[in-house]
Amino acid sequence: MKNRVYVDRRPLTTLFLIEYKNAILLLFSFIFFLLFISNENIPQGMSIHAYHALVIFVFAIFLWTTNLIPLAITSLMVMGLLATFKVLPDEKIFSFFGNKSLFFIIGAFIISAGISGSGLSKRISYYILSKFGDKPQKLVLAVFFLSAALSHVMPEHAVAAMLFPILMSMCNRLNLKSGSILGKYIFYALAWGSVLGGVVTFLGGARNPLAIGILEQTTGQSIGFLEWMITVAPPIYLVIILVAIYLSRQVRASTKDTQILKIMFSEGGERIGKIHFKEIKALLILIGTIYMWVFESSRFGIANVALISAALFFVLNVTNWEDAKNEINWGAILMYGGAIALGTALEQTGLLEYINENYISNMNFSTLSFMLVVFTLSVFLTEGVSNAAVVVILLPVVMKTAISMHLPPTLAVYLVAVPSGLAFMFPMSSPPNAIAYSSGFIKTGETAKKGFILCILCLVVVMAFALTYWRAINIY
Amino acid sequence: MDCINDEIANRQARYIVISFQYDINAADRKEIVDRIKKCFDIFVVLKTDIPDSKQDVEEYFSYGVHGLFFNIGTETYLKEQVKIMTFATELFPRGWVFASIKNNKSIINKLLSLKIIPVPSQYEPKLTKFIKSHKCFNKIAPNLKSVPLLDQDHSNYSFTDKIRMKMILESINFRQKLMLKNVDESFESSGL
Repeated sequence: MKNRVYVDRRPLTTLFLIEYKNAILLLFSFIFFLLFISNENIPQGMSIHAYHALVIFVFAIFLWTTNLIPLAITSLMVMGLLATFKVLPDEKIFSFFGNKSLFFIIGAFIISAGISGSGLSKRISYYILSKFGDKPQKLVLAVFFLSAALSHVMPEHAVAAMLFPILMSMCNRLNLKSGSILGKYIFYALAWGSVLGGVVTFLGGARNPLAIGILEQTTGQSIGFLEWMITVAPPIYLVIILVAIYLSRQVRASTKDTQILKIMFSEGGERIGKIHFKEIKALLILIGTIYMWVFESSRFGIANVALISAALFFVLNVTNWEDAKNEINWGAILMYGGAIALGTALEQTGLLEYINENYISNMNFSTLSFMLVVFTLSVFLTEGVSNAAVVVILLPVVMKTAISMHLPPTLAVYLVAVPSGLAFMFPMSSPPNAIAYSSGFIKTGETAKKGFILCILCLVVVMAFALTYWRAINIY
Repeated sequence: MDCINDEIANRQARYIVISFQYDINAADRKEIVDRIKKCFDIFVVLKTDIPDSKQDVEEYFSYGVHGLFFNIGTETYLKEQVKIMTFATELFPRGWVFASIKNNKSIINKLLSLKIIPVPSQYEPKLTKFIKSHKCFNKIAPNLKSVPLLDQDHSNYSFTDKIRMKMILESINFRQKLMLKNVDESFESSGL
């Protein structure tokens, strides 16, 4: 067709269902919600508030997993429903937006805006790639380690989005075609590096602070920045090493001469020019912030450090409000407020206690099977569902189960939050995957196969560490 | 647009027959039809020759017109032309494919059996009556008080007639919306 339009000649009923499937699903979900919420046959032993919380929770899970309406809007609706059905008092529900995890996330977004806006991240990228990109193997590894390292201090999607244009121009300069092995593994390195690096700290993805927020709200306990890194970094670093070996072997066959990239990187470096004072300021704030998070978080609190650090980027004129507000994912903030409210409602109405007493306690889980089931569920659920949604769906129940098994709730946080970030299989599983996929070098089927193997690798490695290392450092 | 407005005001017309010059590209044709549909509650019928390929019929459909009027003014139709017209009846709603005829009853029978409404090149009440009384006609005629292109009189529409016409118009528009797919949108909707 000349005007890029084609006529779909399938039966009209089929076309109608395809076109309006979301609206139909939404309509039926609302009908079912109203039927169940107005049902008076409440299970024995369950309070009316707990029952309402359960119906709202199931409804929210459906909407979060199907993405029929934006995740943030589902969260806002959840808050409205919790208040309408008096599951929790109105003031309490809306006060969850005052949770310190949300302010940590806002601070982290601004810090990310400051780092990328100053040009520091781009300079680091050009420097690393120019130093190590002279051979195909070293180039892929440089991309992998660079994206993993940057995801420690920036959201993983921001890292992938920042490196993507550099890598695309690199592939163009090398004249790589869509079937190129080198091109394929450069973008796998970008996606996998960003995803793996993003799990190690609170800054790679907002799901980790969200999990901490739910933990604090329901149990009063918390996990510090350093404590998280000490627990999570060793298994993930081992996975990173194993993936690096795999990438290196896969690209070994490539004979592409990447020497010409040196010219490109030096041109890129020249375009950025000599190091700016802004970048030095951004680097100093970043180092100071990390120091405070690692060594002083118990004294000052990570959210407070994040907010002061975010303010410093403005005080020292490193970033401006326009850049910062574009970087802040307000949808995530809205979603997390509702998610924390729902998590708390499940706990405070006694619903989790009910589920635990009536169902989970009868299952007689051993610690190993509990960890295995939760990790597996989380790592595969996150392939199809937003990683923050995985945390919201699983964490409250898993935390309660852990407590009933005399395990610390912090273990539940690691078991849910860590795998929820390890999405490798599909383009829609995580933003870095989608960005890498848009390069045209990687194919969906192959990504799913490799991603599945990576998920299993992560499962084996993290479980091995959970059974030995985590026990040794008194996680449980 | 003024011409259409006058036509509607003067003749109480409920449909309009349009044709395009060859130098107007597909995007402009679509835009013209869109503008007519936005401004008026009126059926839009495209007058054209019988095209050479089915792709051309699909392209006509993509302009958003409600019906096709094949106006070639011959006594007979070639086998290939019949194939193309039959394809048009599969694509357009029932009763919205028209073909011009001369005073030839066997052609009328053939067209009606192909679900195409014959339109005499000159208005002849007897011939029109013959067409409207044909057993196949009732099965395919649009459910309107006056049949576009065939009936001369467009007046005396009751309120219910107008509502029915509006419903038919919107249902045809909706059918088109479902069937017309943008290639880019289709790619995006696959989640890729």
